[in-house]
Order: sequence, then structure tokens, then C-alpha cells
Amino acid sequence: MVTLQLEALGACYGKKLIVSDVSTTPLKAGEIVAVIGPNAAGKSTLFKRIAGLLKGPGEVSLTATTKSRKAIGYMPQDTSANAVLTVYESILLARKQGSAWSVEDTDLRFIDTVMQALNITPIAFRDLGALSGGQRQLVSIAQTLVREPDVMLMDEPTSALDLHRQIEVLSFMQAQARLKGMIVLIAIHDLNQALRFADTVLLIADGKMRACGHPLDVINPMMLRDVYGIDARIEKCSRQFDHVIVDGVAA
Amino acid sequence: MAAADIILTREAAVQGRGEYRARTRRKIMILVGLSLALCLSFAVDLAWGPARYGLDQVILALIDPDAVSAQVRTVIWDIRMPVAVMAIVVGAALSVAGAQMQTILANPLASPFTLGISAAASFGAALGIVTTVPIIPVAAGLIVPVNAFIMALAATLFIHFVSQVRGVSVQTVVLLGIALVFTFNALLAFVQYLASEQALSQVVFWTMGSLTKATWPKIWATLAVLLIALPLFARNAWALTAIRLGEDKAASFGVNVRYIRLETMLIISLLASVPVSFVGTIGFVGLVGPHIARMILGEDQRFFLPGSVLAGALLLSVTSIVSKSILPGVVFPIGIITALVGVPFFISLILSNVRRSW
Amino acid sequence: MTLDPDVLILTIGNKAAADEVNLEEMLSGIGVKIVYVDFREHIIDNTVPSLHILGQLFGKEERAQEVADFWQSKMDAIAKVIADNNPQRPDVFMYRAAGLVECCGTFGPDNFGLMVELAGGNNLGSDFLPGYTGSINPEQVIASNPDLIVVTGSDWTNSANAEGFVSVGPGTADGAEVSREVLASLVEAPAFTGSSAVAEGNVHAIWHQFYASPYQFVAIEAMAKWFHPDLFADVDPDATFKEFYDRFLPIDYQPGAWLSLEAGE
Repeated sequence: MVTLQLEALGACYGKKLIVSDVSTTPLKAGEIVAVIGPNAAGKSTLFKRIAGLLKGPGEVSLTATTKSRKAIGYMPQDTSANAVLTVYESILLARKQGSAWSVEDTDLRFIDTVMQALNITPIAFRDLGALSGGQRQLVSIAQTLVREPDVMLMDEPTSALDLHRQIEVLSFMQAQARLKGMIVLIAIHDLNQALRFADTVLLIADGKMRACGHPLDVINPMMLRDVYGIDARIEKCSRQFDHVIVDGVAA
Repeated sequence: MAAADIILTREAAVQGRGEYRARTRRKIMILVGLSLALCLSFAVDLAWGPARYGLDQVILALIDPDAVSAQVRTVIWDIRMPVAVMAIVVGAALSVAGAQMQTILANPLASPFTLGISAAASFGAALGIVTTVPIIPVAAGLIVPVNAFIMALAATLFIHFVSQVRGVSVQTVVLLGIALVFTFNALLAFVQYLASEQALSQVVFWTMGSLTKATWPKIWATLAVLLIALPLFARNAWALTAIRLGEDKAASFGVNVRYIRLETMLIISLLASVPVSFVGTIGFVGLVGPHIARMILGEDQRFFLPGSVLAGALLLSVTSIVSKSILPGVVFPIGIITALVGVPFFISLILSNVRRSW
Repeated sequence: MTLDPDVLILTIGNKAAADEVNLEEMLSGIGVKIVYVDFREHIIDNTVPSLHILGQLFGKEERAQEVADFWQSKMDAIAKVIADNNPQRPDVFMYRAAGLVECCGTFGPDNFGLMVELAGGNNLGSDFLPGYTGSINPEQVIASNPDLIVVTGSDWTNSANAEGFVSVGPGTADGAEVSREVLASLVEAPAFTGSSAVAEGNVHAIWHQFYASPYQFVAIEAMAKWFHPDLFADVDPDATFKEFYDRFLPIDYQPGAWLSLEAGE
């Protein structure tokens, strides 16, 4: 059973502490955590710290099915790199690290399955350079998924997707989390999607954790005025999902 | 939750897997084709020269050296063979060095020549020729190559460590490389200014690069470096390919980017400087070779790495044939020809839609 | 300029550089004239005029005339023998500055290449090199199969990177045995495999510095004697050089400006 807890976690660039004091309740398998906060709040930095790419104080307590680095799958925000690789090759690459050159059929089968699930089979043999921003994000998600991590850190995975695709991808991730017992942390700006899919919301602002808890406890009119500087209400849509109705910029 | 059902219950259409396997087979065929072309070029290089021996003579000299006259034996084994083999090992070494430089610096214009490593080696060699002062104590006959090697190594390490200090930005490294080219060219000019006429002509000849300096010890040394470098690169094939997706992405795949970069840079410095210290500056092979490989094979290192080896070797082998065919009786310094081919390529690289893939 | 000269003597090779900066005009402003001499680029046309110029400069016109006459008489004598007999020209490979330059540095149609022609030989380098010096493919040397090999050498002990040079030149006669050994090892290079020159022992070394001197005629005599021993049996370059020293130079003649692989020739 996978569990994850951040304890007084901080992240440094060099000697400079960028993010500090992030603590969560113990996160459980199958949970979706939305990490929200204004631009430059420190969301990406926090993810890099959790993924082990940055150093800092505090602790990431992880109980995983494997001890290797593969336990945490990190999907960076930047998907702009243009190597002369096909989509298929770039996804295979994510699964096949290590020194062995041979590619097993089981690897390819799994890649085919993931690609089909994300509906990117039609672009499998396009060069990365020929992809749109949205397609790049889908490929990047596939790359993270084929590594079969216990914890997924997705840095704005849906920012370039159309609304339909956003809902599709996020519900897919939610289902995957539940089915495979993953913990999925998603940095996201769209608070409505956070309210719709997250079990827990973690709010970061100015490099500090402001709140962590049930979505409606974190996303409320007071917080929206304090952190985002907008006047807003929370209302339910016809399918009973909570939504942020924005009235305007706070006076 | 339809998507989740798919991933667990229904296997995806076979299309992707089959197509991938087909493409892999095609790439292997391309590598085989390149190897055959290289064999052919090598054969022509051995068979072709001002002493017009028949093919039967050449073949006989190769399989049974004692069965032919001393002249034929000498021409094939002592004159043509070292140059033909040197062309292949030097082309391969420079091309692989360029390929990995382009990979880890994420820059299509990177190569030992464009980043000042060749210039550093030239300066070291000129210093050896003109002042006969060794940088480290070595036998007199080794002063020139050893000096060249040490300067090239120093330049590579300088690029690497300074860029590390500055936080390794791609632009920093390339600008540093350009600065090194200027610096070492200025130092070279300074040394040339101090040189005697006799030494000067030697320096000029050396900076042009020529395979006629090939000897078996030089070939073995270059080959040894190549045979050390290739398995190390091969072991890191997936990691090096991943680095092309960006530092964060590679790190997210569990690649220790910093370590791989340092290791790769060190190997590159060996690959780039050893040939330069033996045969002088042969520019653009390290630029053109990898680009040809990338165009026909893509950047999966499992194909890109051998592809670069073969493309560079083939390129220099063909150039070797051209260099002795332009003027009868004269061997053109091969560096002149690679530059004449390389410069237009370099310019087209800058202007063309190659931007797409970077 | 601190020496306050009246005349600046330059070799003709410097003229282009001097013209570029208008040196002539510059120096005439301070009363210095430039004089160009040449014993290297056009050895036939320029040697005698250069001698005359130097004679005029130093007020020794008569003596210059004597040197020029001597030069002309020796050159004419060789030319006449060659013209009269029109002998078969042996193929000659000039191995330029062996030990200093990698094989196979040689001369094109000028300078030593021209001297070979004047001495009645066929300079191989002239067929392949447009310029005055250059390198040719070692394999070409094999293919051309020279009848004679002439190595240029000098005492390059103090020269950087010089290794395996043939030390010939004034005053080197004592080391002839060593030089012969060096010469023998030089022609073991791949380029000379199976050549008739090596087979017949027609391998010689000559003082490199003849390339820029007014006594090329001595070199030409020596080479003519190697190329056509019968025609030039009565020519004695050693005596010629000695005579030149005795008559025109303030120092004593020291033999050793050339040698052959086979001693006692």
C-alpha cells in the first residue's frame, strides 16, 4: 500500500531556500492531490524536490512498492524539447532506461496500451518536433505512465489541452490512481478541475504552504481574495460538482 | 472510466508495436548499408593511387603479401593502408565526438571544431613545433602530439567546468566555445609570428590537417580511444537519448544528468584531441557526420551512435580518395577538402529548416 | 633605422610586403633607398643583376663583374655540354630538407627544380607541383621510379624538430661517414622501395642552402656530374667551389657541401 507524507519539506536552488515548510497529512493510495497557487508560488520547485532533483530540508516519507527511483514519476512542465525521435521512440525511452539495448515485446505491448488509452496512437510515428503543444503534453503523460510509478508528480499536465481533453485526461488519471493504487499530485491553475477531481488540495503561495486539506476547505471565497485577489463564490453545477464563479478582481 | 478499462482489459491494436519493429529493422538495414559503403570506400582507397596497380595485384598483396613485388607490397601496406585506416578511425572518432557534443550540449552547431577543441590542439601542437617546449616531460618525438592533446583536454575541461559553475546553460557553453576558438587562434597566430620560416611551414601544414602523417602507432592509439569510448557511450545509450528531451525530462527518467554530462565530456575530449594531435585539424567531420546519421536514423542512440561512427568514417574515407585524386601525384591536405564540403553544409544548417528538430 | 643607413637591402620576396606599406616612399623621406636583390626566385635572370647591384652599392663594380663573369662562364659551360650532347635526361627526385620536412617534400619547377633541369636532369617534382616547393604523394615517387635521388641537407642540429637530416655544407666533411649512414636510412623510406636510384646507388645529398646563394652553379656542376658522369668527367665542382672561395671570399674553402651514398665517387 502506497503512502506519501511531506514533512516540513523545503527546496533549495543552490543555497537559496525557495520553498519551505510544506507538510501534508498522510496521502493514501488512489488519492488525487491538486497543488494550486499563483504563478511562481513554488509548485514546480516543490515537485522537483519531491522527485529528488533538488535538495532541501524536511522529509518525503514514502512507502512504495519499489525502492528504486522509479517509485516517483515526475512529469516536468516543459515539453518543448525537439529531438529527432518519433513519439513511439520517446515513450519507449521513458520505459527503457538502463544499459541493456534489447527491447522486449512486453515493453512494446504496454506502450501500445498506454498510447491507445491516451488516444495518441495516430501520432505514434510522428517526430516530436511536429507535435502541437497539447499533443506534447499527452506524450509527456504517456512517458510518465509507462514508467509505472507509485507516485506521479504532474506539473500542469493539461495547460495546453482543450476542455474535452482536459476532462478526459484528468478522469483517466483519477481512474488509474484508484485502480493501481497510485498517488497523483497535479499542479494545476484551473481551480474548477481541482474541485472536480482532487481528493486533497495543497495551496502554495510565496514559497510557503498556505493550506492542505479537503478541496472545499482550501478553495473558498476568503482564500480566493487573499491569495488570488479576486471576488468569487463556490456553486454547484448541474452534475453536482463545485465550481468557482468569479465575480471580478477584488477591490 | 472507459479509458481505464482499456488499459487493463483490452490489449491495444498491434499497429504501433509492429510498425516500431519494422522501423527498427529498416534502421538496421541502413546501418548495414552504411557499413557496406564504408567497406567499398576503404577498398577503393586501397586500390586507387598514382601507382596504377591492377585489382588482381592489390588483392594478391592483401591476401598474400609475399607473392607480390616489394614495391606493390610497400605501396599497399606501408603507403595506402595506414592512410586508408587512419581516415576511417579519425573520421569515426571525430564524428562520435561531435555527435555526443551535440547531444549533451543540445546544440546542432556543436563539434570539436566549432567549440575550440581543435583550435586548442592546434595551438598546443604549434607550441611544440616552434618552441619545442613540452607541457609535460615526454620524449622529443612526442612533443607535438602530447602538447596538442593536453591543450585540447584543457579546453574541453575548461568548457565543462566553467559551464558547470555558471549553471550549465546551453548558450553559455556554445559562447564559451566560440571564445575559445578566438583565443586559441590568436595564440596560434602569436606563436606563428615568433616562428622561424621552416617551423612556420610545418605549423601551417599541421593546422591544415593531413592523413599522410598516419603511422601504425598513431592508428592504434586512435583506435584504442575509440574502443574505450564506444562501449561507455553504448552503456549510456538510453540516458544520452533522454538528455535530448531536456534536463528535467531526463532526470525524471532517473538519469543522473550531471554525471553523464561530465563523463561524456571527458570521453569527448579524448576522442577529439587524440586524432587532432596526430593528423592536425580536420574540421567539420564532427559536424557533418552526426547530422547525416541523425537525418537518416534519428536520435535513438542505439542507431545514432553506430550511425555517427559509420557516417564519419565513410565521409573521411571518401574524402581521402578525393584528396589524392584532385591533382595527380599530390595529396591535398584533407582538412582543406572537409572544410570546403563542411562550410556550405554548416551554412545550410544555420539557414535551413533544421530548426524544426532542435 | 637607429644605425642611420643609406640603403636598405631586401630580398625580392619582401617586395610585396614592402609595397603594401609604401616602404619606399616612407624611407626615401628620411633619405634611405631600398635595393632588392634575388638569388632565389629567378636564379637565372636575377643572379647576375643582383651581383652588379651589390657591386655598385659597395663601389666594387669591377669585382662584381669578375664574380658575374665567373658565374656566367660556369653556367654557360654546363649549358653548352647539355645542348651539344642533348643527353637522355635521368629522372631525378629532389628530397627537400629531409629530416626537417616529412616525405616527400620536394621542389617544383623553380630553384632546385630548375637547377636539376640545368644540370641535365628531369625534375620529378616539376610534373606535379605548380609552386616552388611542396609535397608529393610517396606513392607517386614509387610510380615515377626516379633514376637519382638528391637529398638536400644542412647542419640543422639547432633546428626544432629536425631529426635524421643529412649534415652537408661547408666544414662538414669530417662527419661524412655519419651523414652517409643517415642518407642510407633515409632512402629506406617506403617512397623509395625498389627504385632504380637506390638499386644503382644513385643517391646523393647536397647543401640545402644552395637554394638562396649566388653559387648555385657549383650545385649545378655537382649534380650534372652525378646525372651525366661521362659528359662531365673533367668537371670538378670541388675545385670550382675552392676557386670561387679563393678568388672572391675572405674565408678559406671548407669542403663538404655534398656527398654521395657510395663513397669515393
